[in-house]
This record gives sequence, C-alpha cells and structure tokens, in this order.
Amino acid sequence: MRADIIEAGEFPDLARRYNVYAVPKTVINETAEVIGAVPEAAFVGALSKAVSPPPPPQASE
Amino acid sequence: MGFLNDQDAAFVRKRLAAELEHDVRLVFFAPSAGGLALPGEDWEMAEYTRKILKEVAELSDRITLEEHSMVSEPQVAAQYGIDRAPATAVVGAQDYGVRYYGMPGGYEFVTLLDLVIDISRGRNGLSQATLDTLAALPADAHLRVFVTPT
Repeated sequence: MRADIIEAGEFPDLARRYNVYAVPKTVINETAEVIGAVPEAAFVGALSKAVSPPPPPQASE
Repeated sequence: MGFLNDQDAAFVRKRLAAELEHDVRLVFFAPSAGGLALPGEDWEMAEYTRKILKEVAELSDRITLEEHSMVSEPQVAAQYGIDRAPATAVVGAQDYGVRYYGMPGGYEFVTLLDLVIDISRGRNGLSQATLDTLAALPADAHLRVFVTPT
C-alpha cells in the first residue's frame, strides 16, 4: 500500500483531476473517494470496497 | 531556526527525544531550480519545505535529511515512486510507502511530526479489526490524501 499526503493548493492539477473541493479528501486507486475525516471503520470499509475485484465480465461470445 | 520559534523547537526536540525509536530519513526531492517551471513546481514552496525538514532534522540525531533533485536524479525519484516535487519520502526501519507532497506548514506540521514518530516506531495506531481487514485485502491500494495547511 502507498499513501501520499498532498497539499492541494500546491498541486492544483491533482486537486482538479480528483475534484477536491474540501479537505481532507482521500482518493483510493483513482476510483473511490472518502470525504472528510471519517471514523476508522468507515474508512476501512471504503478501502476494502475499492480494492475488491469487480464482478466477472459478461461472456462476449 | 526560522520556521519554529525557540519554544516550539524545544517542545518538538523533547517530543522526538522521548518518542523516536528507529532512525528516520527525510528523503526530499526538489523541483528544477529556476528556468522551466512545470505545474506544481513552485521553487519557493520547495525551499520553504526544505528548510522545515532541515529544522526537524536538526532537532534529533535520529533524523537525517537527504536532499535530491528531480531533475538531476530522476532515477532516485523513481526508486521512491516520486514523480513530482516538492516531495518527501519519510523512511524508517522500512519504507512504509508514505510520501508527503508539498510543504508541511501550518497545522500540517503536526501531521509531519506525527508521521515521523509513527514511522520511527513502526506503529500505526489501528485497531485489530482494521489490521485484519487490511491483511485480507485482495489487491494493492494507493491512497491520495488531499490536505491544506490551514
């Protein structure tokens, strides 16, 4: 696992890319986000959901 | 001392002396100095960042500051997975994968201080339930935590 702490004001390109309008905001693997300082269990729940494998793709043939 | 006043420096020094266990390296990457400026590369902010890190390193024998350049040492930056600056890898007995992008000023100085101490101790303060969930994660995760210094 990697964790980057990013000063939003100094990296406006990243803040824009990840739609950061309020801090703290945590983006997990590009796809999921947690806004605000949430309880540990809620954060872990969001993290767990974000990294769980997606449902198997539909057969294309 | 410039960033911390004498009283704050004394407080930080005492806290570091009491709480640090393993040595910690602050591996700092500066952006290009002068000339071409890319988005996110503010040389002044980088210099403030370097000064803050230097002050912290001067407050404990267990902390060292390593200074690198993104421009002349891209291979070192790549080793740390760093692609923009100013950036600081905080590394203890292991590299736990934590990077700080930007200047840890204002309230974020406390974030840096807590981070240095946690990494020095190899602790994280998480509950056993959280640790169990993390150990069972099916894939790697990259967290980007956006903050502001105020």
